[in-house]
Amino acid sequence: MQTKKERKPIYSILIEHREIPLLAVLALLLIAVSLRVPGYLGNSWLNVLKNGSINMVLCCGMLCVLLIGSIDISITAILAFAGAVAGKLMGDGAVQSTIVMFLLGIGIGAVIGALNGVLMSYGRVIALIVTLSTSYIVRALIPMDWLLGMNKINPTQLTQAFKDSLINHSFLGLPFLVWLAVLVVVITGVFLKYTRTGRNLYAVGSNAEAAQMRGVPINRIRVLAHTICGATAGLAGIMWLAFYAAIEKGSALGDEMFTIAACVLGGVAVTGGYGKISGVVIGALMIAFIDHAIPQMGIGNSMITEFIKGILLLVAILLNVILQRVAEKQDLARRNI
Amino acid sequence: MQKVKSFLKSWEFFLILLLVVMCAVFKVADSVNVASGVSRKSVFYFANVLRSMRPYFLYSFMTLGMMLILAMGDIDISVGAIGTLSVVTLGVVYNKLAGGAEEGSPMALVAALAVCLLVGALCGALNGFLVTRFKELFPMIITLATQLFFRGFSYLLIGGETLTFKDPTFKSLSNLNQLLKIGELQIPISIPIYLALAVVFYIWLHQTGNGRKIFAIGTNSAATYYSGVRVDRIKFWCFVIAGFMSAVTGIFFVGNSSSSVKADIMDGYHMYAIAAAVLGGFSTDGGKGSVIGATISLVIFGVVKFGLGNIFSFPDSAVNLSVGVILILSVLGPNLLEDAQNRRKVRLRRAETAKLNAAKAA
Amino acid sequence: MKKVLALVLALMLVLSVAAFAEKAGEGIYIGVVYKQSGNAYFQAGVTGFEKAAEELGFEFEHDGPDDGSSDGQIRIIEGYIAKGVDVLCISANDPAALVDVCNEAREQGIKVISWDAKVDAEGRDLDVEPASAQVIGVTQLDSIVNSIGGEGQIAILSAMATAPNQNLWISFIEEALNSGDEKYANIEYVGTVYGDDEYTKSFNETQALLDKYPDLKGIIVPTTVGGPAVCKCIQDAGRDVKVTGLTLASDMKEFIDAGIADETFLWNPIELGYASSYAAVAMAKGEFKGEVGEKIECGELGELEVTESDDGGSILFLNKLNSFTKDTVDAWVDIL
Repeated sequence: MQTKKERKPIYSILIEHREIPLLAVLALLLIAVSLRVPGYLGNSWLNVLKNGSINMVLCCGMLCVLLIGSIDISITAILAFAGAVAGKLMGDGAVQSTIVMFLLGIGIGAVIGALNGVLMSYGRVIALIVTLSTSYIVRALIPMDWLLGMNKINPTQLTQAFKDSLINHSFLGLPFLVWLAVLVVVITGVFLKYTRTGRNLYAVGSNAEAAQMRGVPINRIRVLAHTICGATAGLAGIMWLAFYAAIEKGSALGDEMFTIAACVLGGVAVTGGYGKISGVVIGALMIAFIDHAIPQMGIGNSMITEFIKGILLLVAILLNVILQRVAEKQDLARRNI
Repeated sequence: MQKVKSFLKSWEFFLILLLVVMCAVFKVADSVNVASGVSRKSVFYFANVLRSMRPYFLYSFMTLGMMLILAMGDIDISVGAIGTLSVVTLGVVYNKLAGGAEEGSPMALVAALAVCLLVGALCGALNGFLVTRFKELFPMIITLATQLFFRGFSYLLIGGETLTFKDPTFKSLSNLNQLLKIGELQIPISIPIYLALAVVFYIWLHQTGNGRKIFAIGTNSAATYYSGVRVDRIKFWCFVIAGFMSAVTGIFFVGNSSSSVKADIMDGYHMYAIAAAVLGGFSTDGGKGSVIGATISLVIFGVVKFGLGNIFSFPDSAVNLSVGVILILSVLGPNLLEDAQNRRKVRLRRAETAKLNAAKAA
Repeated sequence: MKKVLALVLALMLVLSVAAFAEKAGEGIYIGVVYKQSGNAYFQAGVTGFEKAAEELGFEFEHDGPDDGSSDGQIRIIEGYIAKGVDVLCISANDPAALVDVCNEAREQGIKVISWDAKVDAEGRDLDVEPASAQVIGVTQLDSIVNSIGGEGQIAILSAMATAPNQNLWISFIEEALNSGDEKYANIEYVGTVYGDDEYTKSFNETQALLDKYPDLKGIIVPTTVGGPAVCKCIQDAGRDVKVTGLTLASDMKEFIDAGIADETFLWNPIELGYASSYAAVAMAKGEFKGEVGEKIECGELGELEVTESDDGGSILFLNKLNSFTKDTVDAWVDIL
């Protein structure tokens, strides 16, 4: 046992724990930015966390659907829709309680997510097509006359308590916004690691047929994963509303790609069955960091931010694959094959 | 007889039926509108619809490329960005070569067009290379990353500027946006060009062994590989063609937008292309679909958007809603139908066995 | 009782017919195209068209693309051409891209008016704008200079980097700063960032500005979407940074009351729509060509004169910029 451990090369640790190279890249980026913008970290770490929180919550849901080998690109549409409905209700005076707002958002998101899941599992429509369509539909509902019309949700339509809930209350120096994201991450992590249903997500993703043989209700698991994803998107919608105090038709349009990107950066396999919450957290932090740091470096332009994100994403995922290949080769060599 | 029967059961027939029903609904609604005085004149007649197909055939070329990728069971969401990058290089190269000459320079235009198409193909080649070399990754993720890269690169090239060309040489690209006048009809020039290309694609995909291999890859990539088909090579070239077709779309786009070039154009075009191909019978699972179906579905999308927008006065965003609904239903419907058929078969067989068993028992 | 009712009804009918007959724009059909659907600013613009439609009796339809793109606008314009409108009123996402389709419309006898954001001179009959770009730019600059007491760092948060209106205003602001005027001697301009007319991006860009320039004193936001985002960000950060710009009153009331913005501006988009309608109707009837020097009667706005714009086309300025301050904002909240 002892000898076997010694023979393992150092980099195999790196390969087994894919977060480590990612962390290294993150640290390198930090250093690079700090050199250009002195005192960057001291000033901005809180803002990075704050801006990253919403994406972090989205990532937790996305992780669940990616694990079962599915995908959901309607999350940002759900985000905008849930936020618009809840905001409209608050503006009309129907809902005043902050807690109810959050529950409402989660509920709306869960219903749309479940619909996605049912169409995808029982209807056997490919997840990409289902969620693409729902994102079209849900977003088109927002400018309807009974919802927002041509207007948007303004700060004046929201209660002060709601606007303060996430930003102006803090605990241990971190605002509730960040704690909420931490809470969702912890719950997702525990769910995936320590519950039978959570493990079943991995089972369905790595081999659905085998899982079914073993008695896993694969369709129900698929619906569940999409429901969770929808719920987190709905929650993110309310967080958005509380954080920015505004929401409109085009809110978060196209950002779903960065949620997926964060997951992939964090080592989640898009083919399903592999992915850790710790990696996703780092991936989401990385995206938040890039978003925040690049305007600071004075090259400031959102298109260039996207350019850099694209390159980083490409490099990170390719690196991941190459590392994995090396690992497999080493593994085979060790077993003298 | 058998042929007729199988045609009646085919997806293309369903699409034609759908198109006819929609046209009927729009026609009736239009007549009602005119009769009740809501609109001043009839809108929905053949010549008018045909003329208005122009914007909806812009992405038809992209759809042809997307078809190949979908038939192999892959997906390419960078096609819109490839179009942007090739168009932006077209503008930049022409600017450099023609150097702001009053009359423009035909040679420069030809060269710039060649570079534009080349850039499209090269972008496709990059996608193809990554997809075939890194099979562990979904093409969706790869093309997502390359999409960001292409878009960012276009932006690096010209920034926030709009490149506008007023010289007659470059303006000749607007001819791609002209209407062919045949009698009363005004046919957008992109339609005959598209149809010619579609025929080529049809023959290639459905009539030659080479084209059928693409569908074979989509059905079962491993089996196709072991039967001696060079899967990677075909995949690579399909991505190159898709990139090339995006560049072609881009050139038409320049013609459409008054010979001006910007770094943020054609955002979201990949979704139009995917939607048209999927309604046309292609699936992200691969292995099925036909050029005819895709062509009909392009027409359907055009007619739906024209009808909803101009007869029912839906706003632009609600038109997207209908696209979403059509897309889901077009995939869900056949699946449910198949399920029902399977259940019926099972029931019949059960009844038969029950009858047999009863007979045995007796 | 019944007889009285019948009499009243009959009278009303006669009156309405009489009123009907008087209306100038009867039977004219206008297609209004704006930059993007779901934008409250253009809702106000449409209100202006509605108001004029009541007075003039014309019919109109309005739509904007979902994604704020010029090809989306081309689609909508083609739809209007197919429907056979008499006049197109377009707020263009890109001045150059729409020229061909507009000229095609003009070949069919449709008049093309651009309002709020121009179509290039060769593709339009008339441009209706609130005020000259120089006035708009310099007014904002002067306001921020007043707000921050004449010295300190200022920045600009704009819309898309490709937005033609904003780029023009910014160029005039920069020109004024570089003119060596005494007023601006102690002002340090640190640069322009782009919020892409998206709330979040504007918010994040502001945050980056605040983090990067700890001594920043003021931000000019020449776009209605960015205004509330910038103010919200400053409010959350608890910084003493002043804001001015072009904003809707309803968006900004909270922040003007909170003292983050002392004064913001906007022309009245309702008046913009209203004036465009009057020009459109006069053009459709052939009474008005939109040539430089011509005058046109625009209802309650009075008589306006067409002047030559810097791109060589004709332009109609309203020359009215409303300012929103603590005292005046309440009156505007329900309007804009």
